Amino acid sequence: MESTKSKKIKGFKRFKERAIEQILLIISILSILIVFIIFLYLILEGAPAFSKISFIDFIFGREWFSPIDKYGIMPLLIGSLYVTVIATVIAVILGVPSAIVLSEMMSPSIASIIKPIIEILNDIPSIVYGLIGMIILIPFMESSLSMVVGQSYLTAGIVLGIMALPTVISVSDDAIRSVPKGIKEGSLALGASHWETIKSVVIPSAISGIIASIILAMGRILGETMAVMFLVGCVTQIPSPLYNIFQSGDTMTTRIVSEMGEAARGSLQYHSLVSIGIILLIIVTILNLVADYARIRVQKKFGGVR
Amino acid sequence: MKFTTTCLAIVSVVVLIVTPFGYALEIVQVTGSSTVMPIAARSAELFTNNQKDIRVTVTGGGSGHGIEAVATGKADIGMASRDVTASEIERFGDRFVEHVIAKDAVAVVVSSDIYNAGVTNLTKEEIRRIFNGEIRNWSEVGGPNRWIAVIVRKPGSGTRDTFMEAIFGTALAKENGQDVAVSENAEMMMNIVNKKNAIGYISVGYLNENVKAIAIDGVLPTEENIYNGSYPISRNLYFYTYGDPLPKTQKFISFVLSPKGQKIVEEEGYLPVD
Repeated sequence: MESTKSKKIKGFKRFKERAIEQILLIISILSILIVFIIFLYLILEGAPAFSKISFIDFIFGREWFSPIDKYGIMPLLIGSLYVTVIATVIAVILGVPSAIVLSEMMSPSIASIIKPIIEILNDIPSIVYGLIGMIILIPFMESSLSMVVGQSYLTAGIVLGIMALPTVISVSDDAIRSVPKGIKEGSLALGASHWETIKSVVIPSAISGIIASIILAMGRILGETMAVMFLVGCVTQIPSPLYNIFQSGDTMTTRIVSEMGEAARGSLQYHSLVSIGIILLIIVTILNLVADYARIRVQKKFGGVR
Repeated sequence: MKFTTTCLAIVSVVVLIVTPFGYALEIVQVTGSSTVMPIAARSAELFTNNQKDIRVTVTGGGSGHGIEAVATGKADIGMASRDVTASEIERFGDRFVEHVIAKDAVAVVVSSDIYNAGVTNLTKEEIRRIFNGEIRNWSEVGGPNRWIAVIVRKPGSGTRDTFMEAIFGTALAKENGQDVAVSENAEMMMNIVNKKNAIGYISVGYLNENVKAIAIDGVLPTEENIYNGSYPISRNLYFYTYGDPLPKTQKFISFVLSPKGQKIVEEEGYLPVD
């Protein structure tokens, strides 16, 4: 009697465990499925655009002006590129040194207070960054750099750089912390100073992780929308001269938000806007793959420290 | 105890599901232009509070969206701040019925620095050349020696269409001088107030002490000038129905055109019909 009862309970337990496993499996498959559905949906909704404009004209077209059905995304590609590059440069210049200071030079007790504070930057809604940029940064740019309008690639880049800071700092910090103690101590034992150790041992060992953090930040910057909309000016034009980052412009994400509400479903405008989404998704996917590759490399190098 | 709680939960869910079927509630769906939306939303609130048979729901999305929705039967009323275009008639057929519910005018506004420096009147041609990037400095039109920051609305905005039709002759023209394109009247106001060198345009409903309208060819956008047609940038605001309105829809339209509804129009900063 006793043993059959316990067997029954065991059987039920095993069934329960198996059921939970199956449910978890289904859930994880679902989330993968969602990614595929999004891809499929974008392609189905975006592809009809290319029956009316050639793909080449779409990518290299110099003008986007919906009232006369002109859809060329070159100005948007340039805009996204400039904003992303400016923001990344700012995030790297401020972020990587902060990560080094946090992980190598500060006492752990202080670092454990400061890191969460930096990570709060990550939780501030992007619209708040946009408003602060609009109220403080834009008038500042106009008065100090005597720009005609403060809205520009530069302004958007500065604010996005600050937004991306926590990503760069916290991922780089983790990468630097994961450098094995033995390597560091070996360097110090050979008579290298603290700074020399950081410069020629710690940073080279963590470089893959640091690069991964930068690429993750780039992905975030590229996909950012609301803050950019207030700061970039939303004027679809190729800057003249081409390197003029003080001019107002437009990015891929802001163009989608600007026009999607007004675009009639099934119109060329609608399909073109979805196609911008496809391009954006492709770029972000490539960035993510590169970041993953960098992360795998760092793990191989140190035998899966992280 | 647990049993009672469960019973209560079931009963309340059933009640919640069944209740709406108890009333013969009719719904009038209104969608479209964000310029007309404040009027429709306030009217819908008052209208729905005063009787129980018809409920009015109002959503935005732009004039184009409103016209499409009403033509495809997704909405009972399409709000628009412009006429139905030829291409829309070609696409959906010519059964649109327009109901003018208010009048609106678009005022050209400049930053207060520029206004105070004496730019209080521009000709239509000067405005066109400024927005087209041919006049770049305020000194060319009697202002201080400052670059002009041209703020425009994004394509798709009814306000932009009205402005472009009056100044450029067609909404299909491009403003080559544009420095910033904004999405909302409120964002336009923020730019004009915060900058020291800006020109833009705004629905007269949004004018206040900080944002003053300038005269066009000597004509200010006063109520009188808009009604007698001497002010060049004005427009009607429409409710569009597809075919003759259903009784429930007609009731709401009549309410908006009644003195009560027209009072809302005035409170929202637009001009009542007639």
